[in-house]
Amino acid sequence: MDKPAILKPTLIGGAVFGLLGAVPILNFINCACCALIMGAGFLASYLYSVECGKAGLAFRAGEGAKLGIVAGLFYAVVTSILQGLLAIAMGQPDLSQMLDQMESGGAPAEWIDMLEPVLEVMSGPMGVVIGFGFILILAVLFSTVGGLIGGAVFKLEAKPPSAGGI
Amino acid sequence: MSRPVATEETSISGSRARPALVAVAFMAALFAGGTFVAPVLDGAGVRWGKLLRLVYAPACHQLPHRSLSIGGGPQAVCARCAGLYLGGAAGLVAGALLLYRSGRGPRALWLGVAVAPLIVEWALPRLGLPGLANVPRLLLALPAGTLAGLFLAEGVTSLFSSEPYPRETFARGPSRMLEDADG
Repeated sequence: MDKPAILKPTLIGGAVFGLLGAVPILNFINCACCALIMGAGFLASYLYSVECGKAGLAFRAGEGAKLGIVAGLFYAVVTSILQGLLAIAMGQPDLSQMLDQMESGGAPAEWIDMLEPVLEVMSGPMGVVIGFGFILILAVLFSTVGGLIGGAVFKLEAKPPSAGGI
Repeated sequence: MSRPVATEETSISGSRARPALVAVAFMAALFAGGTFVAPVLDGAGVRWGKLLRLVYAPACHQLPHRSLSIGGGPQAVCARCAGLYLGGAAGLVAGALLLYRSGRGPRALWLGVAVAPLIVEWALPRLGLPGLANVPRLLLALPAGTLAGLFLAEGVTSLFSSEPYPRETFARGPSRMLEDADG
């Protein structure tokens, strides 16, 4: 029997936690070892394990890695799109405002001088690409860890063929 | 609908799993150790300390008053993350060194039990109650990190093993429950 498709569990895992990761305040949960990102892979593993269980198929812990990677991709896409929409809706501080905030926050002048060109790039279209790449790398890495942990927690072993039945 | 049950035990000999697990455990130990190195470098006036802190920035708020003081400066991650990283590294090392020998893995329920105090600790200040100091926060996070490390060790083992069920004796969680349910 074929394995269940991974699209649905990974899409749900990535989308649910990607949504949470884009919500202001809630996304602070990612401050605890990227817990939301790991949750994407973990949830994908759980959902896939349920699918395998229904089909009577095995689900190995190592399969969680694949689920985590794909869920991480979905997480990065969903959270980036939502963050972009939120930024458009709520408005982003411009470069001078960001530098003023850093200065009033007590950042050393040499740091501000060093970061100004970086922030200039990041506030433009190139920043969107770099930002997405950064989220993508983090999401794939931590979601894979979450997927592997979920795989180990929710693993299933296949039912051996019964002796007398068809 | 038929339900899955545990199959017979298999051997892990000859797999690539153990070297991979040792490598992952080593990297995790380096990652956890780096959180202690950053403040030491800062104290010595080495600029790399600040760069090293940037490595940990995406996954931690790094608030100085929520971090342990190492050599006069704050650790590169907060006390909770430090507990999770140290526990995770310890769990992976334990997985590499001990689980192969003992053949005993953690139960899924333990992870939930270990994570629950972290959620309570996170909620305390948000409910207007006094939060914990940094050392208790680190100690609370250690069990959750260790269990996550043990489960991750199992996942890595399974990922790099060519055998169908490399860690047969890990099968103590949902698989066993399904087997029991089948009678």
